[in-house]
Amino acid sequence: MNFEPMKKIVFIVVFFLLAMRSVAFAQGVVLEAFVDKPTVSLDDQLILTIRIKGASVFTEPRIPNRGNFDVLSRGSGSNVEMINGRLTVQKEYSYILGPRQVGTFTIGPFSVDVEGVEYKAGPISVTVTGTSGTPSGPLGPAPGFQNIPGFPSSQPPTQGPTAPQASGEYKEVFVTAEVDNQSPYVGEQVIYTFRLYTSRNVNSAKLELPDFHDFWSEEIQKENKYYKELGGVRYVVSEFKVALFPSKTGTLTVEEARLQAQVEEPVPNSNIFNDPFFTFRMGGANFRPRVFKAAPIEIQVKELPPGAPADFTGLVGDFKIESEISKKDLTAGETATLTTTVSGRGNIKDAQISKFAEIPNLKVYEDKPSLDLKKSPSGVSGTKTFKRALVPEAPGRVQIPPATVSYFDPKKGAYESLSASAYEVAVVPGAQEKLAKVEAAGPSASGAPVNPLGEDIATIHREAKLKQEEPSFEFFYGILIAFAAPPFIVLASYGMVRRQRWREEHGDIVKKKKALSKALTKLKSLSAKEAAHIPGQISHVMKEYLGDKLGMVGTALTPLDVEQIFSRNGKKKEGTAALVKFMKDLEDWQYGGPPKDKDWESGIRKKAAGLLKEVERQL
Amino acid sequence: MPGTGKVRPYKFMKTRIILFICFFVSYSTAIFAVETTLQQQFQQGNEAYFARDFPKAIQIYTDLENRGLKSGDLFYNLGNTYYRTGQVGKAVYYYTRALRYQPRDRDLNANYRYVLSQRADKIEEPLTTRVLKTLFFWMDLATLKEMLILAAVFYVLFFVLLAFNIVRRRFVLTALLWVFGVLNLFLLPSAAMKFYQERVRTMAVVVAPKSTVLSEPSAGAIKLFELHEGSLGHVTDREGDFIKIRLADGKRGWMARSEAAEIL
Repeated sequence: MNFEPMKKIVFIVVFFLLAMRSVAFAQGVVLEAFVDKPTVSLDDQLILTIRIKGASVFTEPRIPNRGNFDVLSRGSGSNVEMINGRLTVQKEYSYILGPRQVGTFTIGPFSVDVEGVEYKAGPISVTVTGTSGTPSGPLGPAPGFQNIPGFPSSQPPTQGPTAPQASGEYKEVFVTAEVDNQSPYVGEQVIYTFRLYTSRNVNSAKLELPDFHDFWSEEIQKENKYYKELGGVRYVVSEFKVALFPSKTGTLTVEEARLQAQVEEPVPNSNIFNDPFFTFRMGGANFRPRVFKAAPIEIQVKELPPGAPADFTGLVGDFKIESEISKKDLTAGETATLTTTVSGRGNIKDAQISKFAEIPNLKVYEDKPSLDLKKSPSGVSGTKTFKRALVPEAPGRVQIPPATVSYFDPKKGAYESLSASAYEVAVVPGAQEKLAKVEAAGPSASGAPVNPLGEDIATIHREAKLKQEEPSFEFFYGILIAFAAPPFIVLASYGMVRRQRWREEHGDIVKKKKALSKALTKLKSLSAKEAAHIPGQISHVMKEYLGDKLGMVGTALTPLDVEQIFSRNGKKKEGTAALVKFMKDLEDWQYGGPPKDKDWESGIRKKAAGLLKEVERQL
Repeated sequence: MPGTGKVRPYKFMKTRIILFICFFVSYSTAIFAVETTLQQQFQQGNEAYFARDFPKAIQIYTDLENRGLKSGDLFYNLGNTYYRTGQVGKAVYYYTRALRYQPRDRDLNANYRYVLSQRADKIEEPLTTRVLKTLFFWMDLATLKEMLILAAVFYVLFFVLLAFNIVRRRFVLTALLWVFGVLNLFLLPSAAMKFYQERVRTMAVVVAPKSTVLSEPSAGAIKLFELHEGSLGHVTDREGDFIKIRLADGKRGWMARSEAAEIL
């Protein structure tokens, strides 16, 4: 990287600063202080300028002996000039001085500290006259302000607390303050009005109202603008209103109100130094900071006359009282809400209604009152709402006394007492003693959330159908069976499946075992209507039996086959012979006709059964 | 005589039916009469309650209880009445009993919580108990009867499905078996635990304004701590006039039987 150009720049800057410093010190430090005019009226203002030359580091200027003036800083500016090859550094501080009283006063000497050395200028003598001796409008350029950019080059217009002036003319900008009643009663509403009249453009207005420390105050009108013609001049009037409620008796003072603003200044054509390039400009016109003061107002506050009612709590104005109850038919323990509203014009904040004396069998829970203030240019009015939760504890009729309120009417100069409605509440047994939250207000309530006033248990069950709810012994017995039985079902099904499988695997054994019973059953079920066919059917049954027993297809067996099989197996010859013979007889009867015996049918059935049983024993 | 042989059984049957109807009607009437009497007595108790005659209400309700009636509504009303007389311990006792039969009753639950909050003793349950209560939350929503029926139904269904599945294996049956199996995993322990809580384990409520818990079941034993009315504990042993009680936070000791009411 090439550092050469950088080094050069640093060298030049350092040289320049050192040169400035050396030039300045070569010249020496100069402190100047001056005002734009030596004489000023009480309702006008001065501009004080303190200029420090030849120093770049110094303390803030000190302005002693300033007690007779309100001092408002306008800021500061600095510049560097090169005249005949020499650099000059200078800084200017500008202040607006508003005189407080008539007389000749000395301000200063002004001083600053430069590197530990104190430099002084002044003092300046200023004469303050009682009234403005100069017409409104600009004068010539103020000394010391010409050709200095950033500072106004014209004299400020005069300002006055009242209008018109002694000469009968109205100023271009002025303020007023007034009250609608200078001798109110304590607590009575008084309207304080501050007005700014201006026939010029005014910017960045900042109003400082008094703190009204002996009053309860409510701003009722922020800014209301309208036009008004005074002495042939059309003014724009900005009006502010505050409702005041004196909190004590005697002479109370509403301190002065101050308005700071930038006021447009006309530019004289003849002054070549008032070139727009050099003047302080704002929105295309010259503006100058101004302070306007409205004079303090004294108010004589009267005491309220004696004879106030017992429940009077300092309410002054014009009021009315109303009340309503949410329910008149209650059950014991249920809650009704009694809502009482006091409304009207005056110090509604102080409204209080009478307390209830103890009512037998009735609990009263007071809710926090809510305040709804309405502010209008005519003053403060509003509504204060008091809610009481009423909880009857026993059945019967409960008398709710009326709520009362007393106030002082300043128009009549007398105290007034008002009463709301009284109520009678019917309480029946069977309270709905709802747990927790006490219901208040109606469905349209839009104010603050309702605070719970108390808690209680829910009421007893009235409409219950009594029944024995304890599970009986039979129930537990049934449950026991329900838990014990299912495993057996599973075991049974498992056994069934196994048995089925075994039967499938060992079908011949099953047939063998079941052969006799199957055959005997079939013998019994042979139909008597078919007598001719019976020998054939019996023969078929017996062959089936033999087939099942021997593990072969029985229907194809002949008596000869049977004889051979039995002889092969070494069975008794007598039984076999009888069986074979009977089977041959059956075949004969089947094809040659049944025997002629009377009871042949039952006889051959029995014989067949007997032979089968005999064979079963042998096999 | 074949004819008479047919008529006789018919006549006998008719007589039996008439007798059965007579018995049924008289039995129903008697039951109805008893229920009406109970209901009337219950209403009398309610009226005494609303007339703020709480001792009378307690007397009427207790009489119903002594007649063997175990009803959630009755115990709930008794709990309310005792609370009104300032006997928090008795109120807790009856609310606890009522909860066995009406665990989902909102008023009952609200009152129970409210009365518990009025007690002087705050006994902290250990974390495990709180976790178990959260996990088995449904146990507090059902009665023992409901829990047993539910568990039994799913248990039986599970085994029936298992039996079917053994006989004839099907995918749907196997899937259902898994579902019922998992349900049973929750329901059976829950039912068992509920049964244990209500039929095996015994709770006791302190009904005396203040009760001293001792290290041994004798009047001269070392005093361990004090319990106030409404505190609940498990009865783990009994000896003479003393019961051994264990609190939820693990503290245990012996207290006079007369100062506590056991929830059987």
